[in-house]
Amino acid sequence: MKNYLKLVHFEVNRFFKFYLILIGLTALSQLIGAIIISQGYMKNAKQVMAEQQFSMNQYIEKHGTFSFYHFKQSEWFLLPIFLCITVLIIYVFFIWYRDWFGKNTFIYRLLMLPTERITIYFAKLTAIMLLVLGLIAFQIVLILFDKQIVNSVIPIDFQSSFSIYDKNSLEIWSWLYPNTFPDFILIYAVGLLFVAVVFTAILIERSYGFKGILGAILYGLLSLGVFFVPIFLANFYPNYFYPMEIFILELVAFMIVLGSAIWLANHLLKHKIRV
Amino acid sequence: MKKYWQTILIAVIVVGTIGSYYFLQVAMASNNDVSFKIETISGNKDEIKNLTLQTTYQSGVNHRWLYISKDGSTILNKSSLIGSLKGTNKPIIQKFVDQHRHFMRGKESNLSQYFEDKERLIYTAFQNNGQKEIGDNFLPLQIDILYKKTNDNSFFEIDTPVQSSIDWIKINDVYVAHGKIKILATNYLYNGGEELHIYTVDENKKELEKDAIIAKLTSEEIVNAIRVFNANDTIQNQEYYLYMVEKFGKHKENGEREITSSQIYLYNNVTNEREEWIIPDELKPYRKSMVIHGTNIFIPVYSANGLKLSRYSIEKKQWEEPVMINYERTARDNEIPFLQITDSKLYLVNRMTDGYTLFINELRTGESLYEGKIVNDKKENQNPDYSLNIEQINSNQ
Repeated sequence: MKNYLKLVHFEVNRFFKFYLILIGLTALSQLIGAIIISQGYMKNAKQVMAEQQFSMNQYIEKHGTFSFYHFKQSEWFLLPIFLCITVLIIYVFFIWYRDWFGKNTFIYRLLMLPTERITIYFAKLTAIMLLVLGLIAFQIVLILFDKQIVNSVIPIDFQSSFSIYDKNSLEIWSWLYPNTFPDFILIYAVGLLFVAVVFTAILIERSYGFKGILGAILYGLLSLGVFFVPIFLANFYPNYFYPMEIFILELVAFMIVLGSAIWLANHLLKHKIRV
Repeated sequence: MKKYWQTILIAVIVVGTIGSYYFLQVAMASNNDVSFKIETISGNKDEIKNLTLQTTYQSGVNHRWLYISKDGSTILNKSSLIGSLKGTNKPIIQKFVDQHRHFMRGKESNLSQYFEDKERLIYTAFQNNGQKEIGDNFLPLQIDILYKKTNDNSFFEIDTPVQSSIDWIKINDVYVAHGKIKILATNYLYNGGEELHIYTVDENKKELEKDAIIAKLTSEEIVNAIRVFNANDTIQNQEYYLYMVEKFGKHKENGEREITSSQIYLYNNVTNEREEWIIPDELKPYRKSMVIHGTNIFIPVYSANGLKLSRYSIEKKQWEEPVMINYERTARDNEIPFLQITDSKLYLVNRMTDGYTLFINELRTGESLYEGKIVNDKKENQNPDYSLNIEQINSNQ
């Protein structure tokens, strides 16, 4: 356990500087974006009101109030989120390959550590999940600041009501932050499964070289296939399975795919991995 | 510990922020939750003992499915993944699933496709949801009969002849008597026409005995329509079918289409006879709101003072004393109250300025059995401009 925690910390620490840059970029883009978008709205409002001799009410009647939706649709808000997602997806691969191709083939030292080799796998998996959830948590805090900025620039009369808890407010929000906590666990558990499958596929490639690439692709497709079997069944035999049964089948498929990913990774790390 | 500050920091932020986000979400949702109760004004409270009003609540962008009963209201959380796994929100179908789990596998939740009596539960369906493949001359009709006492089922399939012009078939009702299963179905044609069929199946021989067309619209004008007035959520036999064949002409000045012919028919399931039913001139404007219940046809006419429910007895072939329900004017001028006739009772929900009034009246005598008010329980949280849309009243669960 101690070794595992040390390794998790080691992995987080290796990415931490880059992680801070990602957080900084996101914060910068969203905070500046909140100022630019809300000032843009007010500037336009004042201009239209001056040019057309509109009162505030007339302007609102004609052009509508400012909704936080305006900001959320802008590239200032969305681009950093997509950047973080992309970087973390790339890092899922990089977290392994840097050990092989980085300076001094670091994997050699890792695998020689006096601990079960699968601990390295679990540590890397935990680190990725921690980094993902860290960004998710940071975005919740950040949006409160974004909201403060919008509130300070745009007078209350020009604003539409908005709550970050309102599920209809932000579309991407409902993906990153599902409506209920059990849904949140479900979505991120599926994310964890996909990362685990990619990790095992990487280990297959590392174990068998060029042949391993084909093996890794086949393994990935097979895992996807097993995971989606219940969904295929439900579509193929409409109404045959009751919703709760599909859910249980999906849970079983999840356990099978995750269990076999870990078992295979353990086997490869113990007996096959080529350093 | 100091050495590990980065990892500890991320872990603390993750647990703290995501935890409080969901904690606050639950807290805010329960604060803002809509909550309704029924306050009795007069009558017997037992009338609402087993009553559930299936409604949708709308206020701005807030849209929720709400079940209101004597114990208050419950929200159906359809937006949650786990919540959506709880199955159908049709109580009768849910009862069938609970009681006959194996039999109900693979079956649609459309009540018009079912028939139930003490001994049997019968399910009928056209293959492929009634969609006909182009060029096919047959569309299999599937019949599945569950014998409740033995829990055995008998499934058979019959090829029904379909013309090349038919696009798809929708089942409106199932009638079962004396070894015959009769299926009232609307056949939609490729060219926009419609036909109303009664397919009679011999239960013992397991073959199609008759395919009778009881209404036909061949015009290519898709605005023409055959309208069936029978309730499509009835699983018991309906002795009569009431339907209207309406043809439309050119657009009038106000944009509506001119009606060139409108004929109403009554089909008797016992004698297999059809006759035209003539509606009195003064009730013609209200014909689209007609309701057939057993051997009576009801036509509701709403006015500022309340509802006048005209009643025609099919067996006596005469108009009977109308049922009157007096209430204050509906809060919104164009809004028609919700009306449902079930189990020989009339249920009416009318919007008032400060809530909704629920009336339950005996259908035969018109006598008031219950009057109550559906009021918002948490007024302080609510936008006064909300609306409740009553979808269905379930009277026994």
